[in-house]
Amino acid sequence: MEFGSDDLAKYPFLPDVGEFVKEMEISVSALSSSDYDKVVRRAEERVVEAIQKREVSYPISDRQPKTEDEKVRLGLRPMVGGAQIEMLSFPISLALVKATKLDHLANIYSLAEAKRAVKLLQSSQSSRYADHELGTVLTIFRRVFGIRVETFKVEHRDDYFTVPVADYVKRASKFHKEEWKLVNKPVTRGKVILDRQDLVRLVGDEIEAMIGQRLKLMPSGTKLPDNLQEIVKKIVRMAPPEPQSPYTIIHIAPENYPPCVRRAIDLLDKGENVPHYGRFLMATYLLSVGKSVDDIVSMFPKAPDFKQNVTKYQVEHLAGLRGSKTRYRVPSCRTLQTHQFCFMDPVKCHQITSPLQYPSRKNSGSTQESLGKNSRPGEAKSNASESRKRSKRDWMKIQHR
Amino acid sequence: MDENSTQIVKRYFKEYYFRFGARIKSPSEIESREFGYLPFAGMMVRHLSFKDIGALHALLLKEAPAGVYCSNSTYEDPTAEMYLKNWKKAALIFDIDADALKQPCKKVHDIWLCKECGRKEFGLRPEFCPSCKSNRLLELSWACPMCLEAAKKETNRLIEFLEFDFGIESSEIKVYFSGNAGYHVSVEKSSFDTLDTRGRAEIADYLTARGLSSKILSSQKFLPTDAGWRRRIAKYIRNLPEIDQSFKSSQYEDRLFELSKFSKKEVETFMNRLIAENSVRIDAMVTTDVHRIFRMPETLNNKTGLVKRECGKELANFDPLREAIAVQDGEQRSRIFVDICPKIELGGESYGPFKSETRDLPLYVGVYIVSKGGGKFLSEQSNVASQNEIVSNRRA
Repeated sequence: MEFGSDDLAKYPFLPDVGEFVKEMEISVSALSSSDYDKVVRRAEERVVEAIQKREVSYPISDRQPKTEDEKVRLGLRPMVGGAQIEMLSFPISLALVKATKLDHLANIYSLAEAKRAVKLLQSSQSSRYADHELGTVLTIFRRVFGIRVETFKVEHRDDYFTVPVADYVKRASKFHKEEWKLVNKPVTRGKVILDRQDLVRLVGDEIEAMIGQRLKLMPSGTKLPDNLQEIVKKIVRMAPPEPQSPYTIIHIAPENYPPCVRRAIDLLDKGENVPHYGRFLMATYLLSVGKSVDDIVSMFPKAPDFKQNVTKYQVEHLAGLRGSKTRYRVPSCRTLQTHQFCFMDPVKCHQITSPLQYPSRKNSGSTQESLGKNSRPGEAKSNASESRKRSKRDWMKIQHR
Repeated sequence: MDENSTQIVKRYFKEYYFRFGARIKSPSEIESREFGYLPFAGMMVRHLSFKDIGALHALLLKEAPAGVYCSNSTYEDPTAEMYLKNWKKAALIFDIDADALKQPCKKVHDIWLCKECGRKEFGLRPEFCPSCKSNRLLELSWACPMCLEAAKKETNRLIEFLEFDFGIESSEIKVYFSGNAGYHVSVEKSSFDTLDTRGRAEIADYLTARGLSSKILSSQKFLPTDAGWRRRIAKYIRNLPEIDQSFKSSQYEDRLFELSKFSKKEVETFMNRLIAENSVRIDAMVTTDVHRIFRMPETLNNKTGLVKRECGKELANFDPLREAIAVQDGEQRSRIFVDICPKIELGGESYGPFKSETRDLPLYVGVYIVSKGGGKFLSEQSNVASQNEIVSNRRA
């Protein structure tokens, strides 16, 4: 199926847009001409919306909001100057973002554009374009993401789809909510049945990554005309400051370790066998809270199968001192559940996704130590709830040191 | 294992590889796979690669190793260190271990061993050794026909999940007796080949029902015609016998209504029961590990001396304790001092239980007991075998 110009306006990240723009043979210097005023204005608006609302609006032509409320809710507004403006403004927005040389703005912008695309893909059409629009969605999934999506008839409703199980778990295994777990989805004959909202949500991260990748691969140092350079300056002024580096190690008193780590240590103390995953968790966690390899090895001698050299080798491996020199991450709560080594505290483990997020710093038995070149130890908060608040990305970065 | 016993077991392994080594077939894409072996003395040797199966056969004849392994993954460079191998794909594999099924017979045939004072006894592991009060106790689990039958049932349930839920063709599913106490299932070619560890954990969780939300029960949004776990739950509720204590009514719709009145505690209890009776108890570690080397079919298991053997199309007709014996020559006998050994069945005969006694037994039985850690060889090819012992132990 061929995409129409409305489709390309909605989904300007599609490779077809690049072809289209190429065919139009617009040079960068031509963008200073007043012919492109509206396009440039929309390009600027896209970036400004990303900064201010963290989401780019999505004017669409065939469906107007009925009330002011709906207009606000949907973020809809009439298309100014049609599909071409919407489509052409996207690569110009990318050029503007690239010219700021701000990596974190590139992330903000990719995410905001991805949100726009997700909302558009999710909004099913009841108009005369419904069939075409459904075809567009299926084609995007098959051609861009390589997922063989099919429509699935459910009584009285036709907005259901099937996705091959492998394609589903490759993506959904990164989501943390229990409703995304395969076990909670209708699965039959190798297919997962999804409604439209979930189907689209499945590829949201990929759209973001695709846009991010495009920004990354764009040549830097392209000379922009004066009018665009002015916009770049404006955007740089508006952009939020770069987030503080979270490269810190938190020293935690043993009584404040999460219950899974405490269980592993207790079992070892009693000389009982600790399953492989328990040992892996204990070692990676203790390394993350600043314990040395020798400290950790010294905790193992009571294990029924203890061999000093083997244990030392293994802990050094996890610490990134051997082999690939990569330090192993602390397993997530979800992985621990899979390996039956989660001993959840119903209150303190509520809504955490990693043992490192366990609110361990209630007592003053913990201190923080700065490691990264950009970290500002003096600014680190140390109240009890902060570690819980720490975002997923933060704790992953800590482990990626 | 003492030196004499090791030598006898190793000779037995060598004889097997000499006579039957040709049964070991080449895995697909052999050059892209990592091989490894465990010698009788020393550490595991890994990161090996073979251009053809003949080279592996030659190694087995030369080394007669205790265990032979091959990766279920393929790599660009299988001999490189793990992080440089460049992983390509991996067959989906499952391990079902009878020991994990916790059958009631465990307390009859399991043995515990005190690492401190050396005491060995039948039964489940106590918290402390009654003699020396040490808590350094090891469990030695043995599998009886009942345990293996339970593992077979679990394997059948796994196959049903693989075919019905995951749409895997039955021709791609291979089932093997592990050579010890369970079954290995391997899916040779499927769309799951390129799944990473995280994706495979989702498959494992689906089978074990880990993370199954109890909200499904309270939502009542499930029908026997539904899909996935919703379908399983609905069918389970519908098919529970009338006398079942969970529900007063026998009608499906009425049972759903009753379910909506369950307290949180009752929902939890019912959920646990439903999961126990409908999930598959696999070892998730095996399924999720894409860098594992896995025991090769038709090689010997060092924990028993039995063969890891493909079960064929009719799993129900496969009798592992008869069909997986490596070298079954009635002439080959051995004298062993049995430290401790529960009643076992092998090759259609039953032996034991034995405790601190000298016995003359067929060599393959001796290898089994010694490999299990239940005793040591005094001699091989003993000529003083008392046939009466066998007869007295013969199954009625």
